[in-house]
Amino acid sequence: MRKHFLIVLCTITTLQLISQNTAIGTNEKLIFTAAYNMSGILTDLAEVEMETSSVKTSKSTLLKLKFTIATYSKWDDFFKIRDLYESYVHPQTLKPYLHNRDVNEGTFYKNMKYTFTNTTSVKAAQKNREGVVFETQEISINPTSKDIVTTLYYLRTIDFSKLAIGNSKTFSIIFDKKEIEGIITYLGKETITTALGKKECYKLAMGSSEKVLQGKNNNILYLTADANKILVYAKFKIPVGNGEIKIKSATGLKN
Amino acid sequence: MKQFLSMITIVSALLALLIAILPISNLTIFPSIFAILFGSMAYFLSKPMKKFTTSLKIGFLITLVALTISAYKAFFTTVKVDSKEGIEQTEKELEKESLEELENLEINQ
Repeated sequence: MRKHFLIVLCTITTLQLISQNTAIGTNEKLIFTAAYNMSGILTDLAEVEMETSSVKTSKSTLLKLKFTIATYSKWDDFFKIRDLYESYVHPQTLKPYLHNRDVNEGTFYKNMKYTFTNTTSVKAAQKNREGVVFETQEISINPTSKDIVTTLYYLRTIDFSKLAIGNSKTFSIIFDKKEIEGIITYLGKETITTALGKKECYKLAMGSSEKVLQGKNNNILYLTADANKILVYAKFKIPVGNGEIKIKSATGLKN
Repeated sequence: MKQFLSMITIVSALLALLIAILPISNLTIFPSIFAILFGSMAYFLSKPMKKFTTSLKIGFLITLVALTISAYKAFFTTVKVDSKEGIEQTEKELEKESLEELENLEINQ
């Protein structure tokens, strides 16, 4: 009897430790407006899209997470941004298998591919504008490391109702061929007005081991406090200024 | 002094007009405030009597045009992304490559 009880207890504990995706659907599309602070006035600069889809290989079905940034046409003559980030992950555990980053910002171009060959290393390959791979590198990683897009989605699998205000979670993120540490601090619930109506949200403060995100509580995320936990509002402060991201529309939600 | 203030008014008004035409039209307010402020100072400081000179009239008119353009753009135009062709093309190519690579990976379902 005691043995059975232990097995059941272990199973429940293991299931709780492995976050399962109950929030992210396979045809979800979230559209945001990104604004940047210019001389104290927030100016709409770009459209940010987060989209999911199902992708089949001969052996498995994966979830594709896509994140794009495109400047509004009126800015294109001054600075044109067409960035694409995508990740292929396990639909339930969100374990990443492959991550592509294609950054196209005027004269600046960067294409990186990270292949998660096993749990302790990732193969990074960098291509030039012509599509020629000119650098490959094997990087040792923490078994829980994820790429930036998967981490953004992974946040939605966290059960924030079990966190106390001030509790933090640390994430290991692969970015620019190195592992950086991302820290999320739960700041409680707050109701905000969005394009989707008034939403009760989980308020989270973001931080990182790098100096990209500045200030203690200047980088904030608002995730809806419902089963979908979608991002509806974010404000950020980076070395070159500050801005915000606001949701415009959300379709194909799972719940 | 009055001539100097009138000159600043004209320069601020022209700057406001330039900004109003550019995508940063919501910043028109700043040079417009300067133009109105310096224009008003030039008007009230003018001696022996308060008088609207031609340069001040032009300065205020340009400021008004700039503010009208800026307000029109703020209320009647919507921002949009005309073409994501570059991203779509890249996505297609990357997906093809990625699927080939994923076939060779061991994926636990």
